[in-house]
Amino acid sequence: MAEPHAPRSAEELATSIGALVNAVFVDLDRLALLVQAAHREAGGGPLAEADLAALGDEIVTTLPGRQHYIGLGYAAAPGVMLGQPRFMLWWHRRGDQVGRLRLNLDPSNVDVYDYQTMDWFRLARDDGRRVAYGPYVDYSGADEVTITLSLPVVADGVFLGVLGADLDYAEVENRWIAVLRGSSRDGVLVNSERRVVTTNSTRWVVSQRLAALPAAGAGPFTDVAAVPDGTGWVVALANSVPLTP
Amino acid sequence: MSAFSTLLPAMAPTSRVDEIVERISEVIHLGLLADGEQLPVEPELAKHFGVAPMTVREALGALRERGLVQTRRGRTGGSFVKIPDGPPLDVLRTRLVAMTGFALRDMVDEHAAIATEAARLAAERASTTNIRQLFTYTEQLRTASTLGARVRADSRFHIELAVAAQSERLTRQEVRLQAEVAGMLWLPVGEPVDVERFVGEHHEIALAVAAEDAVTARALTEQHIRSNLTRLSAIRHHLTGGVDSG
Repeated sequence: MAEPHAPRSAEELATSIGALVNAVFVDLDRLALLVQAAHREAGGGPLAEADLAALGDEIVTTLPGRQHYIGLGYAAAPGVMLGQPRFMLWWHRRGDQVGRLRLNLDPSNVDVYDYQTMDWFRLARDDGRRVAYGPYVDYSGADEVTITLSLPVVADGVFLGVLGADLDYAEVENRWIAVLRGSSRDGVLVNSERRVVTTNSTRWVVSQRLAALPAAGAGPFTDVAAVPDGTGWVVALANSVPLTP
Repeated sequence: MSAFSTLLPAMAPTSRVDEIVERISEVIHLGLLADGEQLPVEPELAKHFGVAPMTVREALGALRERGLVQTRRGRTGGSFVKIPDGPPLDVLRTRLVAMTGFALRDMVDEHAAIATEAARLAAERASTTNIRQLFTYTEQLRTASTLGARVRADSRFHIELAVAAQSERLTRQEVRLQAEVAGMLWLPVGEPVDVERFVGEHHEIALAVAAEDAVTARALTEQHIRSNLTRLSAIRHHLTGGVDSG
């Protein structure tokens, strides 16, 4: 059967994959504005939980309308919340049920979920950039295979914390495989830790760590493009090899 | 008929209650729910687990008896998580004594199968967050001041290996096995556990995972888990009054 369209380049595929990712960051940017507004209204002083009412409303309104979201929220930097060195305003969704995520955040406790050591928080804070982390087994939160997208929120040079969205891997993988199938070549989506996010081929395995981040001309790869969202993910294409039985 | 009944054992009518009790107990013992955290109300729990409200009520009753949940009446009432100071020693002793030598060996065999494969895959797939967590749990095991904290730090290390393997299924199995094994392993019976050895072995496994050395990670984990059988057998002999050869 003839190809209905000309085979798509890595850059075209990366742009399509980036569209979903970018739409998530649009949501996170909107939430970040609400954190900044609360910070301004409090005169830059520490916030009480009530000061984040508008943010909570926006999270609860946004979450049910996004089929591929299983979590959405805000994780505060230390000192931002009055009397709470660790604070998460994070909601999760199971089917049509939405609930506030409550984790053990007491830093003196051996069982603490210290989100400040998690890459989705740490990298957003330290590098001041958008992060896409995963897919990973989220045992503390969603208890599902998750991809977390996050970005830092800053006001007047002060780091206020991180906004994040937990994506349901099963939902987004389907959409991304469909994109990769737009190429007649073997395609693979790789995260910034060189692990395979998804692929249209059997030559790679999801979660496999590649020896090196793909580059055009290196190994089997003929065409490589970054997903245009600043997260360090890349789409890489390789000429198809016949399947060995 | 006998093959049929072996392959398809009868389902006890209380199995759903037990299942809910075990699942909630596990996450509390593993420290994944905060002390004092309020559980959802009964109708919500019933809907969540897909069972009748009566089943949830029975499960909450059993959890109260185990001291893992406290119930308060009135307007601010509800069921609240109570993290126990330590593992339930009497229950663990009884459970260990009731196991045959065959069953004990079988349990460790299963654990070795799951844990060594998890370690191998972890070395191939771990993220930097996973690796940092492995070292954190190792350090927590070294500095833990109570038995409960020690058991949880030991468990969490092994669960993190399965998480680092990027496997939801291995993680589930490791959680189940930790809930079964960890408390018994640290029972204060007979020779005290050599904490330094455990810390040292966890550290070596974490280093192998960080070095992306699957062969070493696997071999070290196998040795580490296999040594549990010696410890568990020694405790069992001690409790049943035999000669402690461990």
